[in-house]
Amino acid sequence: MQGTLDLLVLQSLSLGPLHGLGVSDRIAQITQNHFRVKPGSLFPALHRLEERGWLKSSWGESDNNRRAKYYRLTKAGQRQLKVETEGWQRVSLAITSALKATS
Amino acid sequence: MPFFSRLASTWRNLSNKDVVDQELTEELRAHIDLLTDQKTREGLDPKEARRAALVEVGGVEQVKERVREVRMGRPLDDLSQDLRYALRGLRKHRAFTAVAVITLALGIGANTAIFSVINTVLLRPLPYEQPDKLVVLTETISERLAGVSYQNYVDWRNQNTVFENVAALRPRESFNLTGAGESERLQGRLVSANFLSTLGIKPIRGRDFLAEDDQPSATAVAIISHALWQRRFGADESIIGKQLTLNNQQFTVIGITPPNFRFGADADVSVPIGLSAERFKLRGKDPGITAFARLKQGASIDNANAELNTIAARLEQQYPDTNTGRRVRIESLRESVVGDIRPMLLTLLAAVGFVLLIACANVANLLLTRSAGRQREMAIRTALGAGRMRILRQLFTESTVLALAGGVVGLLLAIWGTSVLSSYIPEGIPRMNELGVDGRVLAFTFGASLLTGVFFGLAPALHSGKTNLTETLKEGERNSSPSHNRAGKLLVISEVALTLVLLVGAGLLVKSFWRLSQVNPGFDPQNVLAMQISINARPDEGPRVDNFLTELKQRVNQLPGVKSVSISNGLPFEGANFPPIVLEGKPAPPPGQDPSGLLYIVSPDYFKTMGIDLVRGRLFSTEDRKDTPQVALIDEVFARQYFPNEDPIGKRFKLNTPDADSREIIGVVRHVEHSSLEGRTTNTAEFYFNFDQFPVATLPRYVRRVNLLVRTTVEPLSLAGPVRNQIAALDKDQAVFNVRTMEQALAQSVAARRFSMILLAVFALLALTLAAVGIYGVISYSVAQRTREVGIRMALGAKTFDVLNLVMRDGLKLVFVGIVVGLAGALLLTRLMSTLLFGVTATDAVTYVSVALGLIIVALFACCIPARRATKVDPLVALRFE
Repeated sequence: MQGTLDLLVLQSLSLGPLHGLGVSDRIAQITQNHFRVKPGSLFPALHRLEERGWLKSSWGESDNNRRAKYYRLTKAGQRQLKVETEGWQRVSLAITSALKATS
Repeated sequence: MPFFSRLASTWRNLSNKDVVDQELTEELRAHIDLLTDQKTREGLDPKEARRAALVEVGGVEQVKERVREVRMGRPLDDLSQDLRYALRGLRKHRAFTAVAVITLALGIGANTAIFSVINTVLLRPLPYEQPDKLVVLTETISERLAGVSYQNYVDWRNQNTVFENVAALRPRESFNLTGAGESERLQGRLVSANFLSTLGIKPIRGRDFLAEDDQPSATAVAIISHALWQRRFGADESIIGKQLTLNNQQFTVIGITPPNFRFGADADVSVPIGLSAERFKLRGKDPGITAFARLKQGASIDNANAELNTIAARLEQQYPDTNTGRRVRIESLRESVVGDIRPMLLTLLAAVGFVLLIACANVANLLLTRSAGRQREMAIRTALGAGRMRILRQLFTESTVLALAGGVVGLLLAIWGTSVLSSYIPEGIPRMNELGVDGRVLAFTFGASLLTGVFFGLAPALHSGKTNLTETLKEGERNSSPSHNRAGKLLVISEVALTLVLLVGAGLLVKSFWRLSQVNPGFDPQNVLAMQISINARPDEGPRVDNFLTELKQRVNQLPGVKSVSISNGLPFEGANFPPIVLEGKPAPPPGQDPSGLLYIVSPDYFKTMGIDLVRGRLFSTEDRKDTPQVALIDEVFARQYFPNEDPIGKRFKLNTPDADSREIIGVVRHVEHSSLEGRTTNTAEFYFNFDQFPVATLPRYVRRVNLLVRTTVEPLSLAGPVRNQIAALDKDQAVFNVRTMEQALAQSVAARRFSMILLAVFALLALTLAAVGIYGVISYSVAQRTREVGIRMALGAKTFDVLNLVMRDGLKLVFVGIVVGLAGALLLTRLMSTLLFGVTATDAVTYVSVALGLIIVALFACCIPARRATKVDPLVALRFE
């Protein structure tokens, strides 16, 4: 789900800037390896979010001195994260109660 | 903020495409490096790690393409790519592009031109305030239309509750302007005081008429047209309040109408109708007027009709002598202005619509032929990953670009065309002074172009869907595609069918016109010069006018080339009075059914000059004078209508006025068509009084104009100058106008019909040409496709004739199917134009057969050229073709 991926990318960047590989590692880490994002989905998502003004990218040095493109959340991105988190919580609550009601 | 961010991204993606792409490449390379580092740290050896990283990324190019796909501005980017590609393709195939654009331009141009006429005449609101509230009131007597009686108008105006205003107008009154400068005859109108205010028009200088001006005893005032003000008075601002001498009476100028103001017949002066109330005082026997009104808010035409007819019924009770059988008919002003011309314009629009369809078919065929050559190109693009949608979009972009180019050229053609057209448009078509291109016309052209583009783009697009990739790539370029042939055949059939419908329509109009020109008008229009003289004299100057006319006749008679000369009041295709009469010795007719007829007051030589035959009895002679018994001539219709089964000679009748002289009928002459060749006056009775016995003083008082008719042995117009000179030499105060031959007067009466006939014929010929080109194109293509087959046949011994036969048979089969479809279509569609026909039915077999034969001959030629080329095929070359 595209919305889910966006939410995970935004969430993974909420603690600080990361490069593409960092984002995918962080997502694996915070979802206990439930989600492993492939580059074919990750990079389109990063570029899309950047074009919407929610992320900002800049070139930087990695831990082992490699040049890499780092992404960080913008103000608008932080707001969007809040909006999407709330939305997601509403949906998951609704789904959970719906499943309870039928059983 | 997100919006601007998107906008900025779109701009960046489109303008710095290479930089953006470069960065993406670097980002991905960095990603792979980082991943490799990670794998190495996890214990793989560097080489192995790198491979694992590449596998995990899974195709750098695909990832890049997926990123590109989500980028902003991607659709725009595609569009610009398609456009550039389309333009490059069109530039490369110049001949193809030129032919397609010209074909489309002709189709779209013709449509734009006709639409701009329709837009002006039918769609644009009339140039008055709230024009949809304006209605025209006409009177009918026993269902027949008649002029409105002024006295009835006054009662309608005073008694109705549905109108804000009811105005009266007497158009085409002429005024002799004398005094300062050359004397001039002006076209004018008599109007009620509320004439301009009912229309919502205000004078640009001075004031409007007031109710006080509209009285018999009022000071005479006049409102002049902007054109007269400019032309005669040099736009002099001090004209308001000045005096004009019109028909020897002083009028004070009180106002000037706006520059573009028009209502009905042109008029340079408007004067209150109330000044001449005397002329209109008799309810039954008066010069008719035109009445129009503005509906009150909330009132409808139906309300108005109901109420006015109630009033008419009341008037019928009150004035049984004059108002029996008189009813009111109300229609919108728009309908009364453009109602007659609508069928013609819609026919023309349908015709140009057909032309455009044929043009579309031709261009579609061109595109099909081209797309056959492009199958490999399309197959390669598909193999490289272009989706079906992407290819369709490309094809439609190309056809739209072509169509828009055609639209632009077509618009230019149309602008040029309408300006040429407008100088040939006959007087019969209303509102042509407003003709022009406006936003609606531009929108129409744009819409028509787009639609055209989609329409002819459809064929190759559908066709491209059927392409089999591997087959196409395997085969050479010269494969023949059955679906192309089928589409081509369909196009030929529809072109032939459409053209046939158009040709039949045009054929019917041409035949109508020919029929019309064969109508015998009852007089001989050849070699007759006619002109009008507006007699400028006071009522008491009768003898002076008589002398002037007698003298004039004698002088003109002596001019070389003159056979006979005549004076008349009343002339066919010009105008005559239509007075009620009383037949002596007959029982009084029931009220409202007074006998009447067209009155011509003519000098004895009139019949010789006009070439009107005597049926029985005798003509007027110079022996008939004022002091001899009063005589009259009647026409065949008069005799048949009022003296059925008896000899009219020797019977007596008189005009239905109190002091009219009783006259004896001395002869019967042939009936003359008075106002149209289409038979509108075929059953109208006509009678003649001798000019020499008719006191000039009793001629219609306000307009005393006479026709001078000259039968010549030379070209009639060559005598116009000498005759004018004679008039000027006798009395320079007499204004001469409307100089023409009777042949011209006749032609004028059918000018509107001729104009539309010529237009439709031009469109039909255009369609025929396009269709011929289309047939030629399709047959040529199929011949090219069959080169090998033809070669084999010839190698096996087929003769030239066999090959010719083979190719022609194929082409003509299509043409015949098209003709059958077209004949069916024509039978259905021409019924709609039956109101435009004269003397020919919409199913006229001769027209259908001759048009179909003509079309077959043209089609034969179109097939013949490629067929002959097929016979020139060298079997050896053809077989080596592959």
